[in-house]
Amino acid sequence: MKPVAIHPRTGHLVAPLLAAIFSLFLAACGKDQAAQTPAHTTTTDSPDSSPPSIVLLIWDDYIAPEVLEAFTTDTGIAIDYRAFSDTDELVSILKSNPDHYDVIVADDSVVHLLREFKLLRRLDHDRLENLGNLDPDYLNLHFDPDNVYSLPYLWGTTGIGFRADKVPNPEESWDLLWDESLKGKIMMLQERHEAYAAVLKSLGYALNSQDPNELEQASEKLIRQAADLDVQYGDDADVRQALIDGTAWVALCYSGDAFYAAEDNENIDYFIPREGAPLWIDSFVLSRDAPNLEHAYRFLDYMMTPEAAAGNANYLFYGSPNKAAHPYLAEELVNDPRIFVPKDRLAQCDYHRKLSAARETIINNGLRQVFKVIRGEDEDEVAASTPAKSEDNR
Amino acid sequence: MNSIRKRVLAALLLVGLLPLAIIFFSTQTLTSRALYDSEHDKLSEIGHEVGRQVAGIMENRARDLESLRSNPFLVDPSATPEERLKEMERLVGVYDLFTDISLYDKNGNLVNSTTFVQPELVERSVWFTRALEGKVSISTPSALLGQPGLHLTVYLPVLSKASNERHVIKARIPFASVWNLLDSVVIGSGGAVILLDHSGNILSHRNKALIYEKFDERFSHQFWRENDRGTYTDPRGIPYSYVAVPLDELSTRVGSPWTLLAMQPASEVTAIVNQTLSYQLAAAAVTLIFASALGFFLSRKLASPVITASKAAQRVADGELDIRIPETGPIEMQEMASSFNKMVLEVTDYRERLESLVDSRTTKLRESQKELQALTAQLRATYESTQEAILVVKPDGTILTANKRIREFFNVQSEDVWRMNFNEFINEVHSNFDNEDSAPSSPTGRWTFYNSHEDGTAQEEWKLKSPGARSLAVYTAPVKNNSGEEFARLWMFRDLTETRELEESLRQAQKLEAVGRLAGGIAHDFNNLLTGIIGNLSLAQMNSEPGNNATGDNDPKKLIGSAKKAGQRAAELVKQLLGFSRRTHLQIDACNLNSVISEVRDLLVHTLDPRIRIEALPNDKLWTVNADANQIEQVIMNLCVNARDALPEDGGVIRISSENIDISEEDAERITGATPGPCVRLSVTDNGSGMSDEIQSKIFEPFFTTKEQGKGTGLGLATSYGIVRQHGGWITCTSKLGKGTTFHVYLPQAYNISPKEDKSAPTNPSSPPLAGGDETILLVDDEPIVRAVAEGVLKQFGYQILRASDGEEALKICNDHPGEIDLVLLDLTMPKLSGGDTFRKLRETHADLPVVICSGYLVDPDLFEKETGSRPDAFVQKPYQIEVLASTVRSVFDRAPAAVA
Repeated sequence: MKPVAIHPRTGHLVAPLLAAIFSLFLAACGKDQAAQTPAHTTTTDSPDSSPPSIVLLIWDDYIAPEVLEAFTTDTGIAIDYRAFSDTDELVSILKSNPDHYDVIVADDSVVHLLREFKLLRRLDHDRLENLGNLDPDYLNLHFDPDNVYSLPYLWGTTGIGFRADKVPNPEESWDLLWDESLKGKIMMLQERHEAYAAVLKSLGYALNSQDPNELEQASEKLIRQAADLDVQYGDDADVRQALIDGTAWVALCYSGDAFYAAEDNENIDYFIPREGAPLWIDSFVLSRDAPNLEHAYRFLDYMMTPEAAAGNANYLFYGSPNKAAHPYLAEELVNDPRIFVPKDRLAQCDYHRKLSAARETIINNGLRQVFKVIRGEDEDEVAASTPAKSEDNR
Repeated sequence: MNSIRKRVLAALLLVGLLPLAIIFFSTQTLTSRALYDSEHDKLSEIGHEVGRQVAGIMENRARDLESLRSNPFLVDPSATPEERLKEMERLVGVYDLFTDISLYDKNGNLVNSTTFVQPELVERSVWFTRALEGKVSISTPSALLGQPGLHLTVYLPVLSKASNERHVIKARIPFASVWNLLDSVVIGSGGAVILLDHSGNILSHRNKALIYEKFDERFSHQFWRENDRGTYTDPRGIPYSYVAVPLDELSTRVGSPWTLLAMQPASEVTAIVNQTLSYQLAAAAVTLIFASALGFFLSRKLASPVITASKAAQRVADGELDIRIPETGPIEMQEMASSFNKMVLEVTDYRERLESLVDSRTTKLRESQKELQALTAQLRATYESTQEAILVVKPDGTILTANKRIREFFNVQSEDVWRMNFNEFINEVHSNFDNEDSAPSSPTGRWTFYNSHEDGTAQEEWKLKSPGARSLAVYTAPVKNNSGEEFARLWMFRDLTETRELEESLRQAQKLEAVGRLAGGIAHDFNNLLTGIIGNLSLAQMNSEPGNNATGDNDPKKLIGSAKKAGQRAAELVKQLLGFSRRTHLQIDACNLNSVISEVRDLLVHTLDPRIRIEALPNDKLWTVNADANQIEQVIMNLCVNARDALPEDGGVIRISSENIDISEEDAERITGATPGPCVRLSVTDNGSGMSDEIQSKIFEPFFTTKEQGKGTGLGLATSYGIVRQHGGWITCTSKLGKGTTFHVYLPQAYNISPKEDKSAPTNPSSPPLAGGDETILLVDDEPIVRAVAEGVLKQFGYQILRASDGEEALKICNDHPGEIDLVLLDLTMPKLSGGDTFRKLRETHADLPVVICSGYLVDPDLFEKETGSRPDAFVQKPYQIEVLASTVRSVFDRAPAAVA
């Protein structure tokens, strides 16, 4: 049998030729297709040429300047400090430009509100090395379970600040705000929940009462106070100033504000009324569209260092939820029962809880009337223009 | 790819399949591209249409705003806030368009509102500021407290004539129409249209939980502007085809641009492509089958002669040497077949020669193997038949071999001792030992010690308590190979139980003999002492008769004192004899033999002729040995008795000494039974008559004696020799006629062990002043004289006495006088009910009644407790001195620590 001859030369020429032609073709197709698929370029925080900075939205003078300076020195990140004076303003400006602000400080009820408005950004806890410094007692609270959005900054109470030289040894009760002998010398915080907390407690009701009757009584008492006692309303800075210059002798006041004002006028003192008082936590949160996220995280982490946390508490006379900061706290701060409130007194205090629409309606309406009285509009006329109750059903 | 056939097959398949593959892949690429393009075009069409409609909705919102603006009731400057509120409420009520409408003054304070749910009491937003400047604006969609969905807020400036100021009307319009539009768009089964604001937040999505969440932070607003179509891979890795449609500020009317994303999972697009692909694959498969069949046929044709040759070669390789390849076919194949066939012939020849060589070698090997096996079996049988238990352990603890006696001796359950680790073995057997702790002197301790001391060789004796009480002679030594390296340790155990029992009875007999022999001397001494006692008492009796007032030496008090002194010496003598003759349990322990020397000396001083001088010369730093001190004591005693017999009538010197000595290799070889190493040597030397060499050569033989009939059994030295051998030691003797004899007892030093603390009785406390009392004591003794003496003594000290002559009577008295008896003084050896039984019954019925045991025998308190269950409150040894009796009784009453006499 003769072997079948194979012609290797022809075979070797044909195959590569075919391959070459088709591979060219394939390459052309591939290139076309590649051009269609967008490259998955990732966008990180814009590495701007301008020096790094963050925008901090916070109450006026509500963080120790030396802590901010130290932060800028240590990290090279500048702070753009923007102040707001009350919740409505905070909500307004944040709603308008959520991409203009990075870090915001807000109290517990406002954190809850901002979450409802979807204006906050979830926190990536992995980026916060100092999270462990915080006291678990101040974490995972009702307004933000698991601290998805917020980190506690300072805590305090809302009570009564007064001029000890004008009102010596007052009875430690909310009734002081309705004392007729102090007419024209009484001041209230314009934060609606604080004002209502004071009046509800003075009536002997719960801080977060939902009972329409109790709330109507509270509105009435506030309106009467505005009309009969020449009460002034203002934000926390207004209250401090009024106590310092004597425009007001007694005032609904944040605990730390009273001690802070006492630096300027030693006659200013503070008490937590025996009926109990609002307890609150101010927290750091991030704006939903924060433009300088990387720097904002560094700022949050820095603020949770024991030194920074203690620096702020010492400066502002508030309790610090930072456990690691305790060794650095000033002794007069730690030993002051009005700041580090003893457990039995604390048991009478409560946080502002999530609010129902029905309650909001009564409070907003009531306060609107109070403000009208203060602006000098006729109370009766106001009452006549109150909309029908069926309105808030929608 | 090594067979010709496979190569041919591969070549054919390559030629057939390559073009097919190329065509297949190119078609596939072109088709899928076309499909992707058309899907994108579809997406793009949908996206732009939706974009147009969103812009339309926003335009309508602007028109709604215009409608407010043109509402005369609202914009009329002369309208009062109340009129405006009325109109606002009408608008909210009539049209479904507005959620709520609010009116603010120029400072941003709320004037009126159709709602009170978060109307913002104070307005400070940018849109409000713009309205104050006279501009109309719409806010970005935002959430409201307690309201579902998003809302647009429109801000409209109006003039208030009353205050001549600008007011602002704020109306909120639901964003729901945009949501409804986008949610109604259907793209495939997994596609969607998503609306994003310029910060990448989701404004509209089917999943409402995602509203105002970031869509995907990896991609900015700018990215979607620049890449308006393509493939997007979400964070979970799922790819989508997408088209991005930009909506500019003019379309959105909220002052910032939006982006509309129309997207569809890439898998849905690919599904269509894949269907086309499967048709093409089917075609390819058909071609492949055809090409394979062709290749199979051709290759077979080509390769068949080669395969025939290779099969033949394979069969040759398998041993079929008669195979030949037919020399046919092509020339090359014929030549190859011829060479192959020649080669097969040669291989056949070689193979036959090789096989016969291997056969003869194999036979030889088998024979020698058989011999070796037989020899091993014999050795094994011998080894298994020995009386000794044998264990060989490697240094790493592996048991190399063990014969069956090991299992028998140590009651090992496991069939294969040699499979065990040495530590496991020890763990299993250590509880069998009498002394089962792991102290250095216990078997476990010794075992561990020798295992870690390679060169140590030992002959010891260990005691087993299970499977039966046994004595084992233990021998251990390192096992060395031809080059002298130690590769294992040998342990041999021989059962000495019977030997030891025989020895024990022999020893006892011998001990009695020694006592007997001593008794001769003692009888002499005792008679002397009795003469003193009786004589003195007789004189005292005579002289104490009335009218006989003797003084001086004949004063009765003095005479009685002499009698008492003689009596005390007799008591001392009896006590020592009792101590020597008592039967003791064999107990090998680490000990210092100087104690033996002093005890033997004390005994001899009292029993030998006072003309014989006893010298004791103990070495203060004597090494420790493993020995039974009682046995060694007997050995030394035997040697001393022999020495006494060799001394002349008029006395001489016996010297007992101890010293440490190192036995050299040469010394060890010279002396029978000696081993080299450190030893303790006890020597007994006399300056008596000495022995001739002939006698010396026989002295250790049993029943050899030089003494006259009745004076010796001839067992003393033989027993001594046995005892010392049993301790691993030996005895030598040097003697010269007329000069004297020296016996040396050698015992090897104990490795690594210090002697137990001497537990000898505490020194007698200083005797307290004798005190009596008025308590009632029951005397129990069968001997009236003893009873009378005790009664006399105790009455003397003021006690009330009751008497009983045996145990039964004692118990009866106790029961008849409940609560009256304060103490019982109890003899041990009595008729009817023995002292021990009486004691036990008293403890059962009168647990609190103190009992003092008074006996002429030596009582071991531990043994007594073992037999009766508890200890008495005190012991008094008879004969006693009245002070001892009185103080012991008193101390029991006073609850002082019981003095054990």
